[in-house]
Amino acid sequence: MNSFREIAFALICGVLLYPAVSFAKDIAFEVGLDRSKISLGERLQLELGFEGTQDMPPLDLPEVEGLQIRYLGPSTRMSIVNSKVSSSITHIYSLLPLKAGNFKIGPLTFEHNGDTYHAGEINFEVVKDAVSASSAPRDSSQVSPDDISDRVFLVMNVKSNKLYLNEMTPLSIKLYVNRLAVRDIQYPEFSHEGFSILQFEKPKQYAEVIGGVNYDVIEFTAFIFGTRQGEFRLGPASLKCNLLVRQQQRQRLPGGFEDLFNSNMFEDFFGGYQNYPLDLKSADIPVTVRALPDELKPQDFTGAVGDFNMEVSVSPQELKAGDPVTLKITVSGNGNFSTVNMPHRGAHQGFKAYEPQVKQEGANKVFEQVLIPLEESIGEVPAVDFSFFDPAAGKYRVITKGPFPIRVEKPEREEKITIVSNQHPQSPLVFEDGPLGRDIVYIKTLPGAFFKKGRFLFNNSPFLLMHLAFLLVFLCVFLYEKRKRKLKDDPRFARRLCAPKKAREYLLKARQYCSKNDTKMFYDTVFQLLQEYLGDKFHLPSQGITMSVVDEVLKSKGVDEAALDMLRGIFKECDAARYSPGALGKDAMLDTLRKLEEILMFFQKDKS
Amino acid sequence: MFFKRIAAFISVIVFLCVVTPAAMFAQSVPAADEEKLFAQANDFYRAGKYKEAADMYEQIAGNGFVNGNLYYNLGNSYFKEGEIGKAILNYERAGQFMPYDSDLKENLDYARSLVNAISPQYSNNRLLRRFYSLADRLSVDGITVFMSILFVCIFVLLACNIFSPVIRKYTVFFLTACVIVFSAAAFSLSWKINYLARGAVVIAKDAQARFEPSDNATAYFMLSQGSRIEVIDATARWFKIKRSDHKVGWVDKTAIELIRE
Repeated sequence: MNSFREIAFALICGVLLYPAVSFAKDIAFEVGLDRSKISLGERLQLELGFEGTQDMPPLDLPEVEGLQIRYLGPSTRMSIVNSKVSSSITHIYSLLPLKAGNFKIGPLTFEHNGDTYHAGEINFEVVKDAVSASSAPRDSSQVSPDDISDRVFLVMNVKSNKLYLNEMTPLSIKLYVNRLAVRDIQYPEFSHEGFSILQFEKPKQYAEVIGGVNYDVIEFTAFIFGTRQGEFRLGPASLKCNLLVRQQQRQRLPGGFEDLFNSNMFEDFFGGYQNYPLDLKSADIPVTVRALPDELKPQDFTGAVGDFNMEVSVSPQELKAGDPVTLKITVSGNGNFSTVNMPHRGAHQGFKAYEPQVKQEGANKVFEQVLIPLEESIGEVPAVDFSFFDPAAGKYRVITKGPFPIRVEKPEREEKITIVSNQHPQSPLVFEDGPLGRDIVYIKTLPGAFFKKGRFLFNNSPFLLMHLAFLLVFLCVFLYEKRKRKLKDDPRFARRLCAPKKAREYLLKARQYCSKNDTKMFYDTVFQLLQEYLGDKFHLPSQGITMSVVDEVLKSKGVDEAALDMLRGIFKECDAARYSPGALGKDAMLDTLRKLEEILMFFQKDKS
Repeated sequence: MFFKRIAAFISVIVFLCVVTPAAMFAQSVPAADEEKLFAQANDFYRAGKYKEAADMYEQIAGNGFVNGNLYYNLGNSYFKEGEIGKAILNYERAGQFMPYDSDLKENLDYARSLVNAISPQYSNNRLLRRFYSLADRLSVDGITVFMSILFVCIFVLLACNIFSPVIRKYTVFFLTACVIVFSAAAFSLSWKINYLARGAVVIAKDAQARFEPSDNATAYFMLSQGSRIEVIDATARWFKIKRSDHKVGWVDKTAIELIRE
């Protein structure tokens, strides 16, 4: 158990100490003063900074004649930027000159844990008179805006001021600030005629010592490249920011309310600061842009400038004729990627090549091209050449990769590969281009037939009447056919239906016989009329209709007794006329005719 | 006898088939003056004087004479004038006369796409939506003629059924089908007439539908120009409208125009 604890402790210590040990070689030692000139009687602050560690004891500074040195204490700082941990310690000393003159501290050498650290000497001047305001120790909030050029300034640098055309070079613009409160810092601007500039990266912030004075630095970095040859001036760069300054205190008036309301109590409470806009400018830089040399320029050079590498892959390596194979070319390195074009490929005979797809990912530019082998005899994808100009070496370089062996088999179905352009002259015409623009179709040139507004066929009366007439005609035909069919299929109905018609015919004959005073024929006709009519009406055999049948059948059908009496009377008259025709005169015939009409009327009304 | 009856039926059919187009033709009216105006308006259009062309087409319509070509050309003139809402309105009106015209469909689709106009949504029910969509592609007179033909067919089949027992067994299926289709056509005609009577198009840009028929009422939703909406009520100055998403609001009468004049 104890041994386990010891091992764990050792591991933890190892992990914790490892960075300190590993960073020991990277520790930077810097020395700085807060001012370079003071007046006698003032104090000066000396800072010994160790960047990269916090495990550094204070130094025993060498004694300097006329200078009283006192150690004030350490100041540590730790920051984590992009997962990188940085730490520093600054030992601060107070220097009090005891006489006027020039003083020198250093060079300093310091040993710790077997490592030796060196720092250059620093100088400062002590004068008897009061020093000028610019070098006097002041709080930043009390500084005069007119006298700050040595405490906040802008510096522009370019890595090289002799460039080749399209050569990419970093440009930095640094804002130096010494113990001032600067706010609202904007991105710098600068004139760059003849150059193209890429986007500024995220600004970096760090401390830097210049001439023994500590400055906070904000650095803006961007890449530029020359777009045409000649002598140019880059910049000057300008940067806008606000300087936070304390307002001048007004003299207070003594006493009373005025004193109360005129006091700076409120200003003091809310700070009493105001923004002073600054427009800083740097010096400009002369830059020469040279043309690329013509000597030894490769034939396939397309303008790429930089230090590049190229990787090429082909997949799949085994396929069938007509199937696609992807050629992937990755160009990586440092340089101007906007000048990198699709590397040159060897003669791609036997391939159908499509336009490459290009994408850029950071410091890589990837070209993917689909190739389709048209024949199974193809054994390789030809080599790829990439030529570029290396500005550091000042010469052209060519990278060649490949050829890449592939195995192409016959397609499973023997069919003509149709990806090649259609050469059949009789084939139907196909337009592959889309419309170039869009607009409305032109107006109609002919007016056509006009209609009255609001008139439709469904409210057109003749149209509707025509349909109604059609319906009526159909109904009539239908009813006629139905009746006709009934007359044919139903003899009772047919006889009953034709009974009145027959009766009218017989009645007409009877009237004629009556007018001729032909008694015998008259009563024969009347008898036939009754036989036919009653036979048809009650669906009985007409020839068998007698008085006894009438009594028997009509009584059973519930015929009115008065009508039956009248009927019996007519039958009797008919019998009497048959046996003694002279017994009945014209009056008797007219009476019989009247009774006959009544009895027919009665049966016509009677629906039984 | 059988052949005599068949001949009689055929003569009835021929009579109706002749009379029906004749009745349709009777709808059109001779309009020589309007044809001259139409030609003049076309000349204005060709000369790029779209405003004058539109005014002249409107004059013909104002005289009470209309047809699909007139509304189509009027829509084109408004389109060229930049009044997309009015252009869509007149294309919709032209659709009542020539719903299958490909030029009209092309122009209407293009005009709608320019102003993001909402196309008509007939129903949430898929079957009904298809049915109404089909009915919307037919003109009112087209449906009427179709119904007329079905009407004749039904009675011819009935007559066959009655007078000819020989072919009676074959007619039942067709008779049933005709009756069903006739009923559907009658329903679609009824819907179409109702729909046209209430259909309207937004002609103003960025018209607002309000909660109440008042200028001070709160705005409820926006109506994009050229959108087809349904008018369900009206006051002297306001239309109560329903959008295709069934939102109901009040719109100033000047902002929309009824398709059926």
